[in-house]
Amino acid sequence: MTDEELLQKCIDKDRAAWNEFVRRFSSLVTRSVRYKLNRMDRHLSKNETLDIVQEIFLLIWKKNKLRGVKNTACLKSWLAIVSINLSVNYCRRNVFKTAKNTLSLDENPLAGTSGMPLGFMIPSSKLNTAKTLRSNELSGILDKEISKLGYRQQLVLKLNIYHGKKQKDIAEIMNIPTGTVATLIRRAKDKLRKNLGNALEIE
Amino acid sequence: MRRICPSEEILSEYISGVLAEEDRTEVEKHLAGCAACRELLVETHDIISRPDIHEIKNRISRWIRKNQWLIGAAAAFTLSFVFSEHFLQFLTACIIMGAKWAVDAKTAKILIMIYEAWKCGDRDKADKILSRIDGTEH
Repeated sequence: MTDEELLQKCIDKDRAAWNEFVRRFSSLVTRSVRYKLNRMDRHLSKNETLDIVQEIFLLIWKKNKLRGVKNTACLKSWLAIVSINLSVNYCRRNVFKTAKNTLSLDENPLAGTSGMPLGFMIPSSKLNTAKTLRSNELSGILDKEISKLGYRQQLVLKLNIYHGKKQKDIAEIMNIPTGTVATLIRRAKDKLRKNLGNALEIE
Repeated sequence: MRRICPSEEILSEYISGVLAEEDRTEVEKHLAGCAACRELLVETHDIISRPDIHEIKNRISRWIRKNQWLIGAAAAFTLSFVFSEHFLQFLTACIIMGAKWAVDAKTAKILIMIYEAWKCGDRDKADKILSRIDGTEH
């Protein structure tokens, strides 16, 4: 059965087709959930990950979300996006559950004693240092200058600088040739260099 | 003014390259200014472009399970040369496991079916099986 036939049968609420759909795409959904949890630095047990995967499939089935997928070519990316979003929702919901086991920075970790709050005990290398202020100031200027570029140059440059994506990846994301990406990046960087002078050196 | 983020469907159509040109422009304008959507897009690309390690692992383990007797026979055959004092024992194990693999294999099962059908005189059934094999092979 092709993905298109499977999708249509699932939309028509065919149980057997739905079982096949789950079998065919559970690996992708599990991978997406694991990936997002790792990115969020949330290390859940195997059972909890499985719970999220089941919840995702249940939601797709109950709300018949597959109706929104008009083209089977984007089924995999759609499933990945839905899985990422629902994993984030799951973590947000469960933050309150885990919050009971955590300690506030304003609380005294040694309950019953007149010690200082936990926040004062943690040394910070970031706050109030001249380096951080300078860095924030520079990134502010950079953001302002980037926002003056055309939307395509902005997008390509942000994917390159902020998200660390290579030209090949950007070309795949935007579905444009790698040469076009290279040209857009080069022109954007030239403009930025011109506007910022030598204050910022962009790789 | 806060622009509304594109839906999951629109974003997936964008990354799959099936979105109409004018909609692409709108999405790109939004992406240029929305870090959250950009992040979502980058993550989606990471997921769909990387090989699925778990799927590869599953395929390898399925292949190993399917060909366990063949792997055993090959291992016994190799070991028969390494431990030459037990050459015959290993060679016997290799033959037994090789035979087990040959009998368990799908083609061997079909051949047995054809032979049995032919032995019973049911030539039509044998021809049907043969034509089915031809159909699958070509």
